[in-house]
Amino acid sequence: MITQKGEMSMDFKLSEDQKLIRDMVREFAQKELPDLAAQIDEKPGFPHQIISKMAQLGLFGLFIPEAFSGGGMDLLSLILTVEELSKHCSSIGIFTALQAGVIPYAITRYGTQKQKENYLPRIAAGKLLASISLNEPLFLNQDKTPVLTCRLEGENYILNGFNRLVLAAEEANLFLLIAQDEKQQWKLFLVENGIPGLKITGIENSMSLRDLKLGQMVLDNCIIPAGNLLGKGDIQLEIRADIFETGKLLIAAVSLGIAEMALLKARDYSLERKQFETVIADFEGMRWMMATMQSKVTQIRALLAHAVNLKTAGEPAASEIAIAKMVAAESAIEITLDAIQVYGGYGYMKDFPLERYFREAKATEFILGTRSQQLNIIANKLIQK
Amino acid sequence: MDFNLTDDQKLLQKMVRDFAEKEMREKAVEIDESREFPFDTLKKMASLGLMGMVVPEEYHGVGMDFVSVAIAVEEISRVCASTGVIVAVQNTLAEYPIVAFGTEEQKKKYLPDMATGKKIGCICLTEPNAGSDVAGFETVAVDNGDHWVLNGAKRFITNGTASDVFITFAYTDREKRHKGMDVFIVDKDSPGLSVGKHENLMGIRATGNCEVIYDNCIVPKENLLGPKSEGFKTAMKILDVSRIDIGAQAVGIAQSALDEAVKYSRERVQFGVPICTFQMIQDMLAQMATKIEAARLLVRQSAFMKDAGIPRFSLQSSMGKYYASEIAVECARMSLQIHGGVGYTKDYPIERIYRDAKILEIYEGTTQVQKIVIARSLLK
Repeated sequence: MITQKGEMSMDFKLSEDQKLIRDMVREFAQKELPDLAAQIDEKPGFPHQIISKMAQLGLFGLFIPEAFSGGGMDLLSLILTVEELSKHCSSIGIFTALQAGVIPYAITRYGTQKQKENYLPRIAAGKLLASISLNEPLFLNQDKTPVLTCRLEGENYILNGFNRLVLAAEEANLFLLIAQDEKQQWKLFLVENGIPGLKITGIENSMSLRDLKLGQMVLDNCIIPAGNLLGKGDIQLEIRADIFETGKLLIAAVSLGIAEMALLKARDYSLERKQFETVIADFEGMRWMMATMQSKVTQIRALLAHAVNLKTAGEPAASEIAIAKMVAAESAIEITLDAIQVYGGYGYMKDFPLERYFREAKATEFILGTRSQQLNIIANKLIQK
Repeated sequence: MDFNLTDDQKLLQKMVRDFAEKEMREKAVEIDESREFPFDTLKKMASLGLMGMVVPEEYHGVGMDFVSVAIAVEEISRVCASTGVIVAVQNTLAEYPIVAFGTEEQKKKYLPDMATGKKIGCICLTEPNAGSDVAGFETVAVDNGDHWVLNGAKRFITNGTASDVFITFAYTDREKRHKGMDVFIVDKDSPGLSVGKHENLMGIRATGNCEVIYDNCIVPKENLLGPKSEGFKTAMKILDVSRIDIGAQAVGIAQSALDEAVKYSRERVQFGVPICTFQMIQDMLAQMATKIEAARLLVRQSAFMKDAGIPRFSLQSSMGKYYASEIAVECARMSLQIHGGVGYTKDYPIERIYRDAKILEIYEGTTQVQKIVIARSLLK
């Protein structure tokens, strides 16, 4: 619920450490992000400065074990971090979800000792930026062939193909890619940017996230040492699902942050804006609209808390995570649309952040799997039972 | 009601559809980026009569019925939402008030140039503090003997940066509220009139939306439009009609979302088959098509009732505007859903359609205002 101070109380039961982190990130985000968010939305430019400040605060290493120069915090701490960042700048929230969440989780859980030593400390320090393609992860071509293939040649794998909508395509130093071999087995690779054959061929002009430079990546006979393979054996699809589950929880936290801020702005505006000689918060139509928005925010939070708890406990949570991710994105879109409606014409103008929230909310719907993909996961789980 | 279009209406539909496809498809992308007002497109439209649809032939218009106007606005909006609303404003918010309420002299002076696209018009009603509360505005007009002096500022004025004719609402007696309001035709070169900030909007970006400022603006006595002190009634009558066009614009935008969804779902192959063969996609396509058809019928029915002189058309136009704008936003969402991640890039028109659609629920009376109008008429 929104408190009188404009803060959101948490439905999660937080430890002292978790509260400390949330409060620190909240303060940082309030101070550093609101102006930046509008600026980088209008004039795309990679936000190097803010990223180095975040690295200094230790935000990218929160979820990395202490043995590898991280903060050794749990998933919920990172969820809270991403939520607070996304309230003011969802691009930074999404970037953090990958940099501090998806990639460190993949390496910590499935990497070799060498991979951990090589990458984790640099990711924690923000010296190495890590990313993936935001688009449908099992992307197949029209003829059912994979967009990215790999074949073993001696000690190395040779990768060929492409990836679209790669976040921070130009600036990132490390990508987590999935490719299919001749036996139609999927394999996960840690691929460094700048290796021969790897090219970023274009930066998308997209509805938002332009500052983060969504790019197309082409791999032309890229030689990847076998040591950069992530995980062993033929269980790579399960590994990928596990990594993506963690990612989807973080993206749901982005949706939540956007939704909360849209509601807060709408509430504040409704108390200021006068029509028919009274503030519009006095009209039942407005009150109920905002009450509905609040109900949706509470739903997102409850679904997310439930799914995070299951995932943290190591329980199977594919369906719960898919539900949380899908509902969070959908509700965020609806809430941002309603927030624009509360603002009226002003909500449609770039002078106010409402229209940006709406554009940003949509991104959370397709990142790491569209609604259809989540529905398939939910249905498969249901029918299996 | 005859659900079939007349031969003339069918002809018009085809002509506008072909024109929009040929002349506007690429332009729509350009002007969304540049925010440039599409003067050259409008010039070509004028030669087809589309800038003077409701103006009688004697004033160089083509004197169409409102069903035809709705058809034309829908077809234009199907390709370019910005141009759709520009044309709607020119025809029903700038020309129609003069056609319906103007004196013979006013008609002769303004309509021929507007109907042939030589002059662009806009309507200046909304102010920073007066949106849904139409009568809450502050602009005033003082009788100064042989002329009026206007002071105030208007906001969200579509066509504003490009306009030559500003249909302006001002209070001649603010104490009397609804009964102290008047309408004035204000020329662009009137002393004291200026155009303020050009707004940067999420969608319909090429509509020249701006502030209009009246600083001791001098308006000739004879430029008072409609019966004295009945400006509020005049405003309501104009908005009753213009809602038909905004409804039609919404139907066009919704249709464009469906067009793009059909096209993409046929092309895009996943798991070896085009995604249009999946039930989930078909479900969305069917929902969109059904809702669009319902909205189109509602909007056209309101136009038909206006043409037939049935007063209840204004309730119908409220329903049409409310419903069509709601489903336009919904269809844009569903279509973008079908496109997946690539729909988020500017490589596909759905990215723009998604941004354009939302304004429909806001301008020309928000959804909330339409619902109040509809509910009140039930409770009368």
